[in-house]
Amino acid sequence: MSDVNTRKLLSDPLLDNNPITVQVLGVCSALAVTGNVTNALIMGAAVTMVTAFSNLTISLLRNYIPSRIRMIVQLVVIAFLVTLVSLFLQAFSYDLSKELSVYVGLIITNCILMGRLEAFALGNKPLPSFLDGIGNGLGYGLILLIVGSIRELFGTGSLLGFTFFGEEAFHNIAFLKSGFFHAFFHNGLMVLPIASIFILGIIIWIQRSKNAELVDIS
Amino acid sequence: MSKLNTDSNAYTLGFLAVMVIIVGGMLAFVSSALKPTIDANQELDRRTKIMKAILSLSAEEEATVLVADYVNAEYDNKVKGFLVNYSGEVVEESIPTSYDFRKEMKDASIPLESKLFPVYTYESDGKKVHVLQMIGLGLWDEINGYLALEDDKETIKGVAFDHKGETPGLGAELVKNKFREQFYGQTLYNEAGEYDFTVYKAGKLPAGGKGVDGLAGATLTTDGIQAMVKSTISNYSNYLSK
Repeated sequence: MSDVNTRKLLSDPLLDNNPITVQVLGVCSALAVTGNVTNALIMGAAVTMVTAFSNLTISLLRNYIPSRIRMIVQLVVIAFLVTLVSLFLQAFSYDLSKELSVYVGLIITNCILMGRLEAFALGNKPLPSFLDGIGNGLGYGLILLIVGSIRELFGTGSLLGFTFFGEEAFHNIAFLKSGFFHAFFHNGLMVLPIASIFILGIIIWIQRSKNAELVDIS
Repeated sequence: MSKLNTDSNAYTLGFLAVMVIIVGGMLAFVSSALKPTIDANQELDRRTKIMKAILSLSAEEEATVLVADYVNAEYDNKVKGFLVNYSGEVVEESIPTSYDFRKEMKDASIPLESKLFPVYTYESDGKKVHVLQMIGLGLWDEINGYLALEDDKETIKGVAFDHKGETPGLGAELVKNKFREQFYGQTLYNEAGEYDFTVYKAGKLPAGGKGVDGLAGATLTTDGIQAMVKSTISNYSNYLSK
């Protein structure tokens, strides 16, 4: 395996083969957990962990899995890893596990996981599969981060909990206390999951207008 | 070595059995290994909410003061929990571990008059704070919390809320200090002694009036909080008038 290929395994899913914007997988959680940046980051990290290790496990077992029950095996591996992530979050980051509540468990149903296992891990060696998992997890996380930043900034006027807009912004910096930063009124639509659909649509639009190869003419 | 026939029934069943044993065993192990930590986290979370209501601090103070060691020490030394019945009499001197507040409140087969309600008292500088436990419905799911009253059992000392699935940025803002601090020091009754406390729809709080301004963009969560506080005070009314 050459270096170029290794790099492609990691970089391709970030842009030209992004799981959300190009493969259009895992959209449901991308809509739900992108209300603020913290959630988006943790969700991205959790999914990256699960895709990487489920890809690795399935790839290691690929010659031994009975083909008739391969999907069941895939689901068991995914569910196992997600349960582990959920338990570890509850034990070592209780506040975050409360914040993400059911969404961690719902990683099990994230189509990116099954998609990568079927499309890649079943037919490739463990190391490339592992890297493909990391790449796709990061690609997913990247989109979550972009959508989450836009929604948190315009929906609540803050980023990572630090307030930029609105009455509370810069309350101890005199020259910023008036004017633009204060006049901002929180956009209620941005707080709702519906906003992610619009943002996601615009991201896909921009990406396809830059790269004509992605446009599916049929 | 001859090629393994991975399509045979025997192999498939064997594979499944081994997989289930391995995965089940590992999950059981991890789950039981982490259980004490998770339980401790949940207990600390509950205690922190009670202390938040009792101490009625600002966001900055809460971030610095309410660390695990402090919460546990204060709770162990100064907080006393007991159960009262609807008539306001103390039934149990301590809260038994088998008591489940959520189940007790939701169980429709127990009439209100036979339900038991938890009270926590906190003593400091010769003054007593009474903490009542609340449960209600927000927009999507359950909302709950603790309401701390001063020694006179009329003035709100502080309040802490929690929720299961309110909208982030709108209804979920109920946990924030900005909203909670409005409750501090408010009185629950009017001069005639009737219950008179309102959580208004956002922006509808009369200027200089009594009550709390609701959460912007979360009318149903706000209504839920109003109803929850009201029903809590009504549940505990006999205890409070004693």
